[in-house]
Parts: sequence; structure tokens; C-alpha cells
Amino acid sequence: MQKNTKLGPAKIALLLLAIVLVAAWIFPLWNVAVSSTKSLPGYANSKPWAFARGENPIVQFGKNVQRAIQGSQRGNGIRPALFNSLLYSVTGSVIAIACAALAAFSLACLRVRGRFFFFLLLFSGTVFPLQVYLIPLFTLFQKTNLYDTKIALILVYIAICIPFCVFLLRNWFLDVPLEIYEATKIDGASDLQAFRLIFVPLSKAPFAALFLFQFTWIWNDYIFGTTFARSGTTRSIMALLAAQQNMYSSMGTPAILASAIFVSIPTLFLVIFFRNTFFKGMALQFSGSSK
Amino acid sequence: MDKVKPYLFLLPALLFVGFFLVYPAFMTFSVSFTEWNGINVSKMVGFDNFRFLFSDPAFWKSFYNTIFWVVGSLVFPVTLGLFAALMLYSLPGERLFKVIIFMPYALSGVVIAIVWSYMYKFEGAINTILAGFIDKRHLQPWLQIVPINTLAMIITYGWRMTGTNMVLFSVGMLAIPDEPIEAARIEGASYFQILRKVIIPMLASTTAVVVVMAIINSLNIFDIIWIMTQGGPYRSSATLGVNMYFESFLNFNFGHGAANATVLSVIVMAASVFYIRVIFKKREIGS
Repeated sequence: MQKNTKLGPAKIALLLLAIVLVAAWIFPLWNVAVSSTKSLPGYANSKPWAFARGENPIVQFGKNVQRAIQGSQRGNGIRPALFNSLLYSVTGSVIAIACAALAAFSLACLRVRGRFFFFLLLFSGTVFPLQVYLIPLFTLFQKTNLYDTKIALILVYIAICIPFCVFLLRNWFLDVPLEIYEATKIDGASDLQAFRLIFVPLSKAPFAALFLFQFTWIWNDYIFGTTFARSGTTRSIMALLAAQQNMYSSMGTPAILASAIFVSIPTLFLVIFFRNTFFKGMALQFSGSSK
Repeated sequence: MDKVKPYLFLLPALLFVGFFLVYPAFMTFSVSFTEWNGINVSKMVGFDNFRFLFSDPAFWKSFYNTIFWVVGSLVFPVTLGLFAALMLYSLPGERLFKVIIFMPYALSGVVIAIVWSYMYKFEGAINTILAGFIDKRHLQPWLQIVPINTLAMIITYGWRMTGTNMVLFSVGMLAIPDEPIEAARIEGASYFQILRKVIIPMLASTTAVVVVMAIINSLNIFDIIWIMTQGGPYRSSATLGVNMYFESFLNFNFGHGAANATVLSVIVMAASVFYIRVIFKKREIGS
């Protein structure tokens, strides 16, 4: 579809409409940002979108962030959760992408018998509600003493990220001309070599997009983090934020909002700086020719 | 050996998915026929859990709320996403506008729920604005008023999902060829005629994917509700997903929870059949 960039009266009207829409989108974020720069009395005595009179917003914001980092009580501080979530997000997405790439390569290029069945089996993980996994995993982890450990969460995150990665990478590999694969076979390369030397270097774009998607997903997950972990040493960042919010009487609204901003910085950074990778990754969902 | 090799490539993924997803899903199904609190030995009770569920007003309330959510998330974020994609296409500042509308994608359900909880509070931003237009006596703590609280949360959810849908529609629009639009323009068609007769029909397969994904995602909604209202007051704003969590991890009645999860899965699976059809049909077209 061609882009028409001429500026006519209709375009200007649309531009104004777009500005209204975007302003509505920013409004909640603006309120949060401003509220996190107030003291507790300042918050109570000012409009949600206005700075509090007689306060230095930067100093107050610093105080609120400090309060968010320390938490309102023992074991409620942000720092361990931050490192936990970083660990979960990085290991979960990297291992999931590696497993999924191997599987997708097999499903797309090697003539596996029953490949469509295996694909559906793996793909089923993208459609089931997460609630369906909770009870058996919860009891399994309790029985094996894995409940409330980092290992349990890493394993679950790897598993839950694999299905979508398989789906996307299979699409991608199906678009790689089969001749490339056949040529490597004629040259005497093994399947693993073909995968490692040809397919992996060809797939930097979907790997990057998938890493961003899965990192963001794990970082933002709440239901697994809150169900399979309890103590401060294993808790994920969003489970911690929810706990801080629960005890808001002792923490104070501006500090909770500062906390909410603070924990969103990594994913906001990724979305803003790698927006094109995100957008291209979404386009990949539609790619792939049938084979 | 050569016969086995392709399966070795599949093995790690199959182990993870089989052990942590497929097996638990089947287990949940079997737990739904037992009475179990997670500690004692479970007892087979046949269809008792389902009988309980279908006679429980809280279950039906959450069932209707789930339908409300599905409809709401089709009407709001999908329509507005299409509208935003059409409106911003080739507009000056397109990229900046799109990044801003897409930005909530970066935020977690918990963060979004917190942000909007303070918007809807009695002394929050929404009421501060409304106070300028209507009598103060009509102002309410909106998250405690049924059914406005569900509507309020659907708006919150729409704020999060519109950007995602907009990006998907934009991707679909880029794939539309120029010729039919050019031809229609030469024939003297107005913008709205081109939109209705050319652009919208050519977006049909994209729309199908977006719509079915919106249905599945809204059926699975959990964290926004759990943080904003905990399904309350009196479990009036719970959906099936929330109700399941409530039964399982607050009441520790795993049988009820599993039966609830099973019902939800059946509904999601029905929607997924369409999803799988749609994405594979799309692939046959090869766009």
C-alpha cells in the first residue's frame, strides 16, 4: 500500500485526531510519573496530574525510589527480585529459543515422520490458559522440594516460551529455500552442521525478535511468579510489586508508583529502542510459505 | 541412526513442553474428578466438581463476565487498533505516534493494574476530571461498582492491547498492493469507498488473526483483574481465570479449581480451532 504524505485539510484533521488519541494514551503514564515525584502529603493535596506545590520533584522522586528499593519491611526490598527476574528472563528466553530452534529446524527441514503432530503438540502451549498448568506444577514442585526455588521458575519459563518460538522459527525456516539445505548435504555436512553453520546465522532477525518478546513476557509475568515462589530470595519482580501494592498503607502511594516505574524501565527501554525489531517480529507471525 | 536423528533435534523442546505443559494439562483434567486440597490423599468424586460448579452462582457470574470481556476486547482494542493503523498510516509523525500507542506493551499486567487503579480511585484522576462536568454526588469509587468495574478494567485492557493490534494491522496494510487502490482512485472513488471496498476486504486474513488472538487473550485474562479488584467485590468481577485461581489458591479446593480450569480450556480450545485454521489458511495464501 502506497504512502501518501501530502498534507491536505483531511490530513491535518487526522493529525489533530491522532494528537488527541496519543494524549489520551500518555495521560495515565503522565499521572503516574508526576505522582511519583510527590511526598505523601503533597500527593494528597494536589491534582493527580499536577506537581505538588512547594516540593522539589527531583528530590522527592529520589526519596520515593529509595523507599521502593528498600521496601516497607524486611524481605520486601526490590534488589533481590530485580536480579531474580533478570536471571529468569535471560536464561528462560535464551534456552527456550535454543530448544525451539532445534525443534523448528527438524520440523521444517528434516523429513520427520509425524511432524505435523509434533508441531501441534508443541504449538498447543500457546493457546491453553496458563491456569491449566498451575495445580499440577504447584503440587509437583512441592513433592520434589522445588517449590519456591529459582530452578523451578526457570524450568517453567523455558517450557512456556518454547511453543511460540517454535511457531515463529518454523515459519522462518520454511521460507529458507530447501536447496540451501540440500546443497549442504551434498557437500557432506551433517544436519547439525547445516543447522549451526547455515540456519543459525540466517536467523539473527527472528532470534533477536524472539529474545525481546520472551524477555518481556517473563519479566512481566505475574501468575507463575506468584504461584511457584513465595520468599524474598526467589520472588520475581512483578510478584514483589504486587506484594508492595498490597501493603500500600505502609509504603505510601507515591513510593508504590515510583516502584512501578522503576521495575518497568528495562522493558520500556527495550520497546522504545528496539521498536522496529518488535514490529518486524510481529510481522514474522504472518510469514512462511506452505510446504 | 539416520531415522532417529531428526527426533533428537526435537527432543529438548518436547521434553520441556511435554513435562511442564502437556502433562500438567492432562493432570488438571484428571484432578477435576477428585476432591483434593493438595495435602491429603485425593478422592475420586466423579462429576461432583462440575455439578458444584454449574450450580454455583459465582461460577456463572464469572462465566458471564468472561463473555463480557471477550465482547469488550473485540469492540474496543481491536476496532481502535484498526482505526489507529488506518489513521496513522502515512501521517507525519507516524512512527512517534505508533511507539506511544504501542508503549503499554512494555508494561506488565501488574504495573498497568496499579497505574489504572489510581486513575479510578475515588480521589483519582478520572473523578477529578468528571467533577468538572457532573455533580460531585454522582462520583463513585468506580472499581467497586458492578458492572462498571468490569467495563473500567476492559478500558484498561484496551489501553494495553490497542497498540499490539495496531501494529498487526499495520503489517497487514503494508502487504496490500498499490494497483487496486490506484485503479479505484482513477475511477474516482472516495477515500471511504476505497477503504470499504478495497482496504478492509484485503485486510480480511489479518483481521481474522487479530480477532481470534483477541478472543483467546481475553479468555485468559488474569493479572489485571487480580490486582485491580481481586474479582471483587464479592467475586462479582471475576472471570473464569480469576475464579479458578480463587478456588485453587485461596480456598485450596483443587478439585473445584481444576474443574474450572477444564471448562475454561474447553472454551479456549474451541476458539483455538479457528485460530489454527486461520493461521494455516493464511500460510496457504502465502502472503
